[in-house]
Amino acid sequence: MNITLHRPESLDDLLKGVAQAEPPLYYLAGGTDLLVYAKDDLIPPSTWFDITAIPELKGIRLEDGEVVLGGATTHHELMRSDLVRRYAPALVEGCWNIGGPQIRARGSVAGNISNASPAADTVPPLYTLDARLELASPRGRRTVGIEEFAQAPRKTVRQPDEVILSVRFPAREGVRGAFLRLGQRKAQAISKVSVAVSAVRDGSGFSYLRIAYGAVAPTVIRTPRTEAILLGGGSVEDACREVSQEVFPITDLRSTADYRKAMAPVLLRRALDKLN
Amino acid sequence: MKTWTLECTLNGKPLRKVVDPAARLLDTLREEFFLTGTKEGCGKGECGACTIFVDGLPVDSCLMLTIQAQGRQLVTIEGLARENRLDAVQEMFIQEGGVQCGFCIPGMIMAARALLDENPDPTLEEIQYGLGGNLCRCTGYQKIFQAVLRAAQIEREQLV
Repeated sequence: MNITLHRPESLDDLLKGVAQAEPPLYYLAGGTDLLVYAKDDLIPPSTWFDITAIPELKGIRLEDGEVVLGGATTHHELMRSDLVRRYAPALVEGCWNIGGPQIRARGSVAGNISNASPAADTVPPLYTLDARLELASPRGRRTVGIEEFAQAPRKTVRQPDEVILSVRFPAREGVRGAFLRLGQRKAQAISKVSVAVSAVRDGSGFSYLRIAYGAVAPTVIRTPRTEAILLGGGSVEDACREVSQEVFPITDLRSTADYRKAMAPVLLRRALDKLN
Repeated sequence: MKTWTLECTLNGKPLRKVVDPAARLLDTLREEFFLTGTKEGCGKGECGACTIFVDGLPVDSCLMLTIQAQGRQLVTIEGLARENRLDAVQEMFIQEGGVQCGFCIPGMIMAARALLDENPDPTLEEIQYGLGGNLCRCTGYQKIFQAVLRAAQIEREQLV
C-alpha cells in the first residue's frame, strides 16, 4: 500500500500532524472498514493516522449528566461498560449484532458512524438516544447532532481533517432499549433492515420514546409520527400501521424494498415486546 | 529511508525488529517471523482464518497494520501449546474429528480459546456466537462445536 503512516500518541500531536499532512487523509482505528476498502483497491496513495494510541479518544465516562464515549471506543468495550449497559441498552444490543468477536474487538463507534452506511448497527441506537458528536480538527472543535451528521450513504458533514473525538448522550434514569435486525446470517452480516427503540416508562405510558430504523432510507431515520402515536397512548397496532408509511427502503443487493417495508412493523412490534 | 522498529511481546517473548509499519500484521507475522500458522482466507475480516490474540482479545490480523501492534502482547496459534503439550482445545479438535482440510483451524482454535478464557462453561449457542467470526467450508461445524464443548468440560474438570 502506498501510504504515509503516522501514529500520534496525543490529540495535540494528531492535530499538528493533520495540519501539515498532504491530503487525502484517512483516520485508522479498528480498520474494519478502511482495510477492507484498501483490499478492494479503493484507497488512493494517502496519509493515514493511526488513532488507536491517543488517550483522549478512549474511555467511557459520565460528565454533567451525559455519557461520553471516546471516538475510538470499540464495540467490545461498549458492550462491557456498566455506563453503556445502564444508559444505552439499545446500543449494547446494536453492538451485539456487529460482525463477530474479532470485528467487535477492534471496530470503533466513530468508525461505524463516519462510514455512514445506513445499515450501521450502532447508529439507530444513537439516534434514539439523541446523541451528539464532538468533531475536532486543527481549525477547532464543533458539535453536530447525530441526525445531522450523515447526509447520504458514505457521505457526511465531516470535513476530511475532522476526527470524531467523542459521542455523547444524556444519561436517562430507567431507560430501556432494544435493537433488532434481520440479516442473511446471524453473524458477519450487514443488516437488511434494523430498528432501535429507547424508552423511559411513565406508568402505563412513556415519558420518552424514540424509534430509529436502519437500511430503509439513504441514512438512518427516526419515525416521529409513529413515536407520537405511542407517546400519546396509542396502540402498538396503530403504531405498526403508521411506521410502514415512514420508511422508504430501496431494493439493493441485500434485500428488496417490499420485504424491508413489510418487516419494518414486524421488527417494531418485536422491539416493543422486548421493552416490556 | 526511515526505518521503524516493532517492540512488542510475541508468544510470551519480547520482540524487537525493524519491519514495515504499514504492512498488514498478518503479513509481518507470516513473512518476517515465519509464523505461518495464521492464514489468509479472505483478507477482509470475514472468515477469521487470520485470528490472533492482541492483549488477550481475538482479532483479525488481516485488518491490523503492523504499527498498531506496538507495545502489545500478541499470541498466534503457535503460542498456544505449552512445552510440547497441546492446549485442551487443540487436543479436542483432533479427538472429536473437527479438522478436515485444516485451513480454518488455527483461527477457529484461537477463537475457541478466547471464548473459553472468557466463558469456561458455554452453552452451544454461546459457542456459536463466540465462533461467529470464523468460517469453515468443510466440516459443517458440528464436530467443531463438539470439540469446544469437550475442551470446556475437560478444563472445568481439571480445576476441581
